[in-house]
Amino acid sequence: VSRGPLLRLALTALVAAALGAFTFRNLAVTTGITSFLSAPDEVALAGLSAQIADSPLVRTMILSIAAPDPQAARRAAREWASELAAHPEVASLRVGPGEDLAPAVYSLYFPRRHLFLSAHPEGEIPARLSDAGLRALAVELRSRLLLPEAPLVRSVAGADPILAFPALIERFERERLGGLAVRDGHFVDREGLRALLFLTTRHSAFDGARQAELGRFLDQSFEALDRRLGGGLVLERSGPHRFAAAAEQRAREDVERISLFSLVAITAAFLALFRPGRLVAISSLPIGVGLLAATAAGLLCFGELHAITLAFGATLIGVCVDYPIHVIAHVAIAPAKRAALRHVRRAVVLGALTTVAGLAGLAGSEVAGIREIALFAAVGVLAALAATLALVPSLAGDARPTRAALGLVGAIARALGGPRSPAKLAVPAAALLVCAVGLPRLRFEDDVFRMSLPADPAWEREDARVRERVSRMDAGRFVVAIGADDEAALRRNDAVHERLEVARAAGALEGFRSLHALLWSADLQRRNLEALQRVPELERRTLAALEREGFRPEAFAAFSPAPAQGAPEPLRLDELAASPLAPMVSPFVVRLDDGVAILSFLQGVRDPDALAARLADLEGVHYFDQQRFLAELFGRHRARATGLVAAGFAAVVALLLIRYRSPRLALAAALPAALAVGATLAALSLAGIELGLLNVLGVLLVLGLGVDYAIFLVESRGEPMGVEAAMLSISLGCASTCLGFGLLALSAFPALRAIGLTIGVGVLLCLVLAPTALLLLDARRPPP
Amino acid sequence: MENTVVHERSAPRRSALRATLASIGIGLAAATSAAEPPAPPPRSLESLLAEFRALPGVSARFREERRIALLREPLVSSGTVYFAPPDRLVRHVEQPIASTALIEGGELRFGAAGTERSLDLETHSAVRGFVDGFRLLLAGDLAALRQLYEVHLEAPPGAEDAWEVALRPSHEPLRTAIESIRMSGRDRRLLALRIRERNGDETRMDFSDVRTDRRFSDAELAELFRLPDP
Repeated sequence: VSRGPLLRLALTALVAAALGAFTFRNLAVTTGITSFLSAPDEVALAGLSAQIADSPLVRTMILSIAAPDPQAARRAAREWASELAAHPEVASLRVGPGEDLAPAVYSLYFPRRHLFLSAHPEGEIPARLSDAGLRALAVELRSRLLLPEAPLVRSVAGADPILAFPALIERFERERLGGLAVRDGHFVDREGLRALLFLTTRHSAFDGARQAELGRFLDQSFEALDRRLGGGLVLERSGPHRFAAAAEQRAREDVERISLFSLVAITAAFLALFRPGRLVAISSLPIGVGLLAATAAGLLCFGELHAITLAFGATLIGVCVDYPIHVIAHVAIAPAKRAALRHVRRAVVLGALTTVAGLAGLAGSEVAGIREIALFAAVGVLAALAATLALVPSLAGDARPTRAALGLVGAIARALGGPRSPAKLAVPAAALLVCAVGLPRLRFEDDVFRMSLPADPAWEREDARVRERVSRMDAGRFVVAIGADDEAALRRNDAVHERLEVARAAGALEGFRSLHALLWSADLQRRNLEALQRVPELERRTLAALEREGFRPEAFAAFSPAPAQGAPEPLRLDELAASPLAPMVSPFVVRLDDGVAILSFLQGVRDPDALAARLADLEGVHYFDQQRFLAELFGRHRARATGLVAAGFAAVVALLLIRYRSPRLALAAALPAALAVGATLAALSLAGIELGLLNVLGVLLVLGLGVDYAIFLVESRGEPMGVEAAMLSISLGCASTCLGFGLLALSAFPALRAIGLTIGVGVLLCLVLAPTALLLLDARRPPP
Repeated sequence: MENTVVHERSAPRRSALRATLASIGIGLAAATSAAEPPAPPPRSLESLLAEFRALPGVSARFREERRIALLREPLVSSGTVYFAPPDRLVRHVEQPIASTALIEGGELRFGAAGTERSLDLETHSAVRGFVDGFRLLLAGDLAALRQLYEVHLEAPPGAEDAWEVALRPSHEPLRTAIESIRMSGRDRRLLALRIRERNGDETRMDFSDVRTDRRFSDAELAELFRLPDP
């Protein structure tokens, strides 16, 4: 090897080292979904969806312990809790309501009992505290003194004869426990048989690695506990943690297994065709440089990169693997290497430019994340092109074909030689036929949950059983009231509560749980106090009504309704969240970057659209069905992505027209890719596969490769053995792509399978259809 | 503990008397309902509770009188109470206002005039104090009673088979609300319950038609141990 190539290699290594150092120092990866959204509502709700996914509500798993007898279950829970709490991934653990709950309820609410009298204070308080209303209250007080709750009522009646505090307590009782009961200070199920623990993890429930480790710890420590306590304990659990851990592990195993197999197979295929062996390493250099340059440019422009950009952008840069292969094939096969290199340079430059032109369509997106991907991939492709041109021709100057390669070249020559015949038209004709039959049958599926690994049915049943023990609310379905601050959100939540009460009364839903049971807006609390202060002679009339019912007026000396001076301040969300009632509040509240969202959980929604319509006129209020929302979001993304891919392909055709100044040549370069994409989608559709966003993204890669393949053929047709060398390189490139991506079609993971199937089938069809370009050319004449 | 000691001192004396009565053919059955099998008088708190624990079920009429500082006159109510081991207790009030209270597990559910409410006894210890002593005695759950109260068994003078169990709350917040609970009876029958509160209020329940051999059929369990439909 002469000094020139070594110098270039050293220079490239220097540049790569600089890019690597920059990337290492500055790499910041974000996973927020909002950068892939456009409409403000979409951003807000998707942001909310993402924050809910990371909220304490989702990070909390429920552990249910059964034992031969309930007391043993509670004892096991107590012992296990002290062990679990010490684990670094456990942020908090609740085994019971805590002894400080009741005093906290009293100290927070009793002084403010008159601020929570009515959700419609202006109308209801005057009626409730009229003479007739007070008589009815006195009768009620007397009758409640006969009921088992009498001790509770008696303890407060002296200061609260209008029964404001007992009414508050009743609301709490409905809200506090849901399906839970308490025994010996422990949460238990309704039957009192199983002890329940609420474990909140420090990290996201979807952090597979951490949750897998925690899951192993739970299994091992519970087994040890069971042995210690004599056996018979049964653990059941609910929460997304182990599903996420299992899915991530399965996906990682799939990718690792397939990657290893691919690496070995690609290396073997390369070595089967070309020598010396170092060419395998040389052919991977441009992609490495491309990835480093893309990452550095992305960080320079955006400050941080989205994980989707890294994953999908890197996939797009994967098309560049064909460039060095194409150069090596020509150097190895062509008799006139210098002339061959001229053709090859033109071909890979045009291939890279068409890929960048295709990405230009993405750059026009209104979605910031898509633009980031476009820039990332474009820089990567151009850098890989530069590295290919700078390094590969000189470093691969001694490339030579193996006997197998020569045999393959001979076969290609025989297959492509000779005049145009009906047999040669059979392949594109068949592709057209598949398109005609399959494309009208395209069906789309945007449910993102179906892209996940199907969960173990036994786990799903267990999860549902445990959730049922705690709450019967529907999973992932709620109403959200969003406000710029706590008060704004609480006011909207007041309105939501009112609407949901009406909807429940009308049978539109079976039930709901709302923060409204615990907290009203400060505005509503003040309106209660004002309405109370407007009631005339309340104290005198109340005592008179009580006396008529046989009460001693002097026993109510502490009754002092609505004092003008020293009235209590409204209860605020932050005060409640800092009290022992915090665990009751936190599931309802999600802090957003620019405000707060308050959730109301729903049960048994009969007609989601009708319920959404009931809330439609409330500003900042949304009926939210997480699964449905994400499906609609992915559907919109799929439609947008389809449009962007089409725009990108139009840009590619325009570039080809500019380059060739001949519609026929441009068509020759573009048609095989279009046919391959159409036939791929049609074939998947005929196979009964519903398509989604990931298939469309796969199409983008297939289009890039298909156009490259056709360009390589068109550009090589004037060069001796050029077409044969091009076909050889295309075949190896296709094999490498199929092995790299197409094998993902074998994955158990639907998302990986969708990408693998699209790319695998698509790139094979690109290979098969690439010679169609030659059919459109008059003769083996060099392009202009 | 002090009373346990007292009781242990008196036990041999009662045992001797029982042996004497048995020897002359006057079983304790004579003092109780003819339908009930004869039962030996309790020797200790443990044995009394053990006998309650063995009961298949209990029903009784009751008359309750509550003297409350808030009211000039006592509140009087009457009705029927049923207990099905191990932990189901229902109280149907007939006069002056119909209502039902059902304790099952640790939950108290009650309804009157078409309304239904529930309270978790764990978190309402004041309410729990009024219902749990009674229920735990009928269940014969001495361990649970001792978790909440200091428990004393006293033998009132007069009848050999009479007994009185006195409970004093041992922990806050129950101790702040209740001064004492006294349950008295004869043989295995609870005949009276008196609750004195710290604020001076007092509740007294007198039981009659006490049946300690109730075996509730499934139909009776379903019918009696439920709240009326609103």
